[in-house]
Amino acid sequence: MSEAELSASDVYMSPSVTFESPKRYLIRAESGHGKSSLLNFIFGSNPSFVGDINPKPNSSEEWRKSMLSYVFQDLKLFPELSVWDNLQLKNRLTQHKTDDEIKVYLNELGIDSKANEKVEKLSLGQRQRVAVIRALCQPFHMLLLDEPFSHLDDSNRAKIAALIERELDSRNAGLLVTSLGPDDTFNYDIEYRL
Amino acid sequence: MPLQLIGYAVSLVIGVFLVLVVAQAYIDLRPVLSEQAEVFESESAILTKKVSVFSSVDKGRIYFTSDEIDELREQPYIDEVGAFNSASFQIWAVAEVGQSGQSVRSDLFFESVPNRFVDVQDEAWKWEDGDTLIPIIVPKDYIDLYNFGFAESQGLPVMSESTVKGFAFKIILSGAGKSNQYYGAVVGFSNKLNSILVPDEFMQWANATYGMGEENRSSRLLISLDDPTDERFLTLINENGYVLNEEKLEQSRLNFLFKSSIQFTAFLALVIMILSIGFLSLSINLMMQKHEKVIRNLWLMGYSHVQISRFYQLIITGLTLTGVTIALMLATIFRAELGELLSSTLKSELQQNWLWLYALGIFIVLSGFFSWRVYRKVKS
Repeated sequence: MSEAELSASDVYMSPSVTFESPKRYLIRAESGHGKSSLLNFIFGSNPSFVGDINPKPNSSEEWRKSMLSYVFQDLKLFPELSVWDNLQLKNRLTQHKTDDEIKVYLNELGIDSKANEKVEKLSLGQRQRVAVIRALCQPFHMLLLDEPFSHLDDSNRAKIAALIERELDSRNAGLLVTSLGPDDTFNYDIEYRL
Repeated sequence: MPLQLIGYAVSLVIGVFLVLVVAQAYIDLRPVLSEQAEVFESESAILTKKVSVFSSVDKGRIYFTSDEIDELREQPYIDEVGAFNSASFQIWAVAEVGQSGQSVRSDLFFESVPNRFVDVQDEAWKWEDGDTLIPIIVPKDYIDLYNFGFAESQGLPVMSESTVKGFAFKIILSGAGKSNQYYGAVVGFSNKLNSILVPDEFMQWANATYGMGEENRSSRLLISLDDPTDERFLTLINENGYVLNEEKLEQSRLNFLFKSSIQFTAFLALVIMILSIGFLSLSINLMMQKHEKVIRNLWLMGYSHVQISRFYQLIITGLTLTGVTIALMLATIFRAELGELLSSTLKSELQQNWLWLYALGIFIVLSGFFSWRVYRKVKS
């Protein structure tokens, strides 16, 4: 972040901000104000920031395997693999969900018929749903969603929200969502403006 | 599979094949060479002065002066200079002839050269004070002379080298008012040297014990050369009017040529192998660059660098294993051909087979190196 990009910000300008589970946070800002950067700093995939993050984003894979789960803005799916293989790529690593549980998720979000299709053939909205399911295939204390619902209609958005809420409750985990504008998909505890 | 990987595999097969063949051929052919080079170090030659009308009158002319020996020692292409020691006492060989116990006496002469010029197994070529058995090296021509000339005409049995080696005969040394009986045993044959050699230690002792006290002068010098084809050496010989047993040097030249060609092939093999290694290193870089995003995504998903590397390491290790195995198979086939050639032309046999061990070593080193490279690349 260069200094010029910093405007009056609840996060970047304050001496410290705490995110704790199981609270739900919304971070709002316009494009280019560093929403994704903030999540990347926390996730440990972008080390170029000034300041401290506690606990320190760990460069070991455990941090990303069992502490945080992240639905990236660009999703970072593997387009040449099928939906199922994309999910298994994660789940084989974490051994967190059974095949049946994953099938239930797919069914619940209405993409069970696409399981064997390559991700590159899917629409953006369908891909977002795949990415969310993938994020659930691992243990976490905080779930990071970077503008997750940009390509979803209200009914699908509600389905995903219900699924995520249920998972958060069962894991007693927190949520960090970024959004361009106001958002009422989840019952946020705190809202920050960048 | 990318084209670079196939290129790597092919160049690896060629490189490893050459390395294996050269390394094994060196082992397999060594006995052939050392056998032909006989008891002398391969790159040694004998230097004498020309015997002329004048030297018949003045015998001193055939001896080398110490200045001349020093001059030879100073030449950069001459490794070592050794002088012949000759016996300054009388020697008789005594042989029992037939069953009647009749004995035949014959005058004999002994010479010795510094041990470093003699390439005989240590045990046989050893003499210590008090030993009555004297090891002897005789010219190979002597056996031929006996077998094809003497034995033929006299109806005596022919002898092989090994029969002669097992055979001890009486020797009488006398001089300085003493005379004692010893036994001589032939332990080796020489193609290069027309003389009867005994160990240097024995000669020194015997000269001190039986000698007439004459100063030891050298009419023949043994020299060992780094490169027998060096032109400066031939020039020096011609300028000083020395004589080199050039015919005998032929073997040294052959030996040198063989060594050079082995070295050249080994060099070529190494270059090809290094090229193939460079090839793969480049391919790894390319592959990693192409897969940069995938690697990054996998890492973000929680895969460790070690886990991501493993996929690439498996491919490369598998490829290396295939290449080395094919090279090993080719080298084995080649060696079998060489073995047939050896036994049919040179009557020599193959030595122990180290091919698989070399191949294993190459495989371990290569796959280890590349695994490390991949890991470094994935991590960066």
